[in-house]
Amino acid sequence: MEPIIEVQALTKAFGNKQALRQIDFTIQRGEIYGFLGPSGSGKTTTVKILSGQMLPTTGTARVFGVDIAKMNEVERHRHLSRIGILTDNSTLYDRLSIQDNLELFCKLYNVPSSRAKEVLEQVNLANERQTTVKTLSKGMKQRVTLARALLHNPDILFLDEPTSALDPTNTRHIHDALKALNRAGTTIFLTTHDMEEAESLCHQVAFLHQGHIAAMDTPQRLRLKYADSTITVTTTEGTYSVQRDDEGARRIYDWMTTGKMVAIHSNEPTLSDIFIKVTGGILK
Amino acid sequence: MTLAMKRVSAIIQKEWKDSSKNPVLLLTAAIPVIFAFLFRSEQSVGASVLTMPMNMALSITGAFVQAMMVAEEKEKHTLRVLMLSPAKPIEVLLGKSAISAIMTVSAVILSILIANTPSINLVSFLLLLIPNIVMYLALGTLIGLMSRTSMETSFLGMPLLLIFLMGPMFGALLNSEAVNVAIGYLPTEQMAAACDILWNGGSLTDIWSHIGVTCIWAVASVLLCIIVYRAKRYDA
Ligand SMILES: Nc1ncnc2c1ncn2[C@@H]1O[C@H](COP(=O)(O)OP(=O)(O)OP(=O)(O)O)[C@@H](O)[C@H]1O
Ligand SMILES: [Mg+2]
Repeated sequence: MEPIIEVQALTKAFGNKQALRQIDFTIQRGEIYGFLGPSGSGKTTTVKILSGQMLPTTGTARVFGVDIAKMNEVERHRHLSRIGILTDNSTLYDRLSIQDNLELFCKLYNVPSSRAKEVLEQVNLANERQTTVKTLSKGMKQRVTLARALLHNPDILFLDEPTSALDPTNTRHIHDALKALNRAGTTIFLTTHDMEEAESLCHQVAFLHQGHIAAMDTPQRLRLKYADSTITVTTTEGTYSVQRDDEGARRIYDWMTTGKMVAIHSNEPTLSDIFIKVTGGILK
Repeated sequence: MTLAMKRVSAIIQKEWKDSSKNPVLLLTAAIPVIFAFLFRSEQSVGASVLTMPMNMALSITGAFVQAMMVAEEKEKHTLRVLMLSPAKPIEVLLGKSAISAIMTVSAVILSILIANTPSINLVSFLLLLIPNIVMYLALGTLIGLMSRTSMETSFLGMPLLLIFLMGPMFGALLNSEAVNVAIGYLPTEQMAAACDILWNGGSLTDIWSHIGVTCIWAVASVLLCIIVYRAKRYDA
């Protein structure tokens, strides 16, 4: 295990508004780390700090072992050439074609122009290369921006709500692409308020709520930790809530041997259930 | 080609494609040329008026067009993406200035031709022109960096334009010694004074101080521009 992002007691204040309050977390190389939280919880602020677009108020954030608030020019240059960023807004040149947009960054990152075609295939846009960005839909722009973030094969990808404007088919396509990238070694830091997305992609998730991390673990462990202690059993005689103990086991055994058992459910919470539990909030 | 040169030329190419598809920008760049027709006068007028067309070309096409280009990148957040790429500040600034520099030189030449500005020795003129262009592009970049939207550039740029272009004419009305001295150091006034010397038989050796003052303006503007650019790499 090798930590690639280490955040300690990080805070960020805008005037007297506390956007982040003492957050701590560590991301290992090769992980997909999900930062989950409702609107205004501080997700974008965290991405901006980690990617070197904003300075923290207090605390430290180390990326590739370097404190990002204390980087010199050489370290900043190295940091930037190893990360890829998808921001939460379109950041493309409207009057240029998709190809021209990507070609500029191929040259800035010193990768062959043929990379443009490869990354467009990854985001399912290979046939739109000559289209002017201005005429693209929001979801298409989001995919072009993601493609641009992939051009230089970054070690860490920062994705701020990467599928917020995508339809289910393209969401699935992007998820598959992200999983493939991750298998090839890319660490992914992803913010989302889509719990299904987090469930399907992330090795680790953190629930952010009003600038605090309210819970953090693997999705499986979180589900176990917050699992209901009862099991719901549907029998021919009705539905029962059974405790996970000897008494419960005996009752389930009886229903099964007498053929009355219809269905059995462990009451595993979804990430949404857990989120609401830990924050007492409602997910928007 | 070194990597740095490759990056600068990539930004120039992008800028070329982008600005050629931006009619508002091209129109703004052409404004001084249109104004130059108004200054076609045969009667003898002062150097301030005679140099007005070229000073307008420098400040409008140089500073304003550059400011619009930079401000648009800021507004659309593409500047941030450039700042987050491996391109160094100086490479981005050079790349972003090249196309406006070409437009500015073209506007100056056209304005001089249209307004029938008396001819000046080429070497002396180039030595005056180059620091002027550097200064106006840097000031334009600065205005663009300080504006949140391209609309705001007119807001921030107008005072500069008024002082630089109108200052020499209206400053005299104030009858204040201090104001007059200050106005004398404006780059537009330095340009007018230097041209006046050259038109009256002076040579390059007589305008070194004017070139020097303009160079100080240029260096100060570029330094300020780099400082502000670096500061803008971070949000609040
Ligand atoms: N530049 C800024 N100036 C002042 N306040 C800010 C600034 N940026 C963010 N904030 C505030 O900080 C808090 C966190 O904002 P942030 O953008 O990080 O939220 P988010 O989790 O990304 O939300 P969303 O899901 O809507 O994108 C919000 O209350 C926001 O108003
Ligand atoms: Mg956000």
